[in-house]
Amino acid sequence: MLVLSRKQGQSIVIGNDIVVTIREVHGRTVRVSIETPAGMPVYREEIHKEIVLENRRAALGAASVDARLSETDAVLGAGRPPKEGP
Amino acid sequence: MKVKTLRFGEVEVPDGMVFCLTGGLIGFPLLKRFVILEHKPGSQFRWLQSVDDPDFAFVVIDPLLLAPDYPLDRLRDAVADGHQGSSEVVVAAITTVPPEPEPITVNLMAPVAFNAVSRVGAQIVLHDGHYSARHVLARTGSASSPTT
Repeated sequence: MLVLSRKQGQSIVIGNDIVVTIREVHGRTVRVSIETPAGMPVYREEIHKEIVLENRRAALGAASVDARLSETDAVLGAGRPPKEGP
Repeated sequence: MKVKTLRFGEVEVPDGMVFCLTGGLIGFPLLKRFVILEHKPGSQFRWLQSVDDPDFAFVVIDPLLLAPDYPLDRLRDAVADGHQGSSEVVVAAITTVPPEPEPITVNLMAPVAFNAVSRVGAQIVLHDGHYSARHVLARTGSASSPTT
């Protein structure tokens, strides 16, 4: 792992097309901008972890769900026609 | 095409009905190709079944059922491919069905969205904090209704 120091306004280039710039240092908070190629997602780490965890829970839970979905459908479906499309 | 699945056995799906997540599902980078299968007639739920791994199928629901002001425009823009700027978006929210007594929850923070024409899309994180990754759908057996 590379560890380096940067001043406000300075940047780091990763590969050919990712640029991380230190915008502002304010107390214990650092504001950075991240330029990436179109379509490359950037996440806050804690959000990324939360979504990974939730996807895993969903994958595990899907093993035995029929009865619970039917009960929930009975609540959701009250007064609704069957829906088209996902 | 035939798709092998753990849950449904081998299912026949029209070739054009395969949806592609270019980066895979978040945390599951190898799960890129999916088909959407019915749950039961009349059900609000569907299945996002992996084509790449028969073992993986996710319960999904239309997030608009739970959040009428859901930001479809943003999702549509996120999966627009330039030539199809006005094309419609197919959106599905992954639903977690844990063992009782934990509630069924819906991931409204990170929906799966596909361009309806190209069927290419991504799991998109809505960063603004309005939507929970564990939106409680319903406590089965409880008297409260989420449809009011």
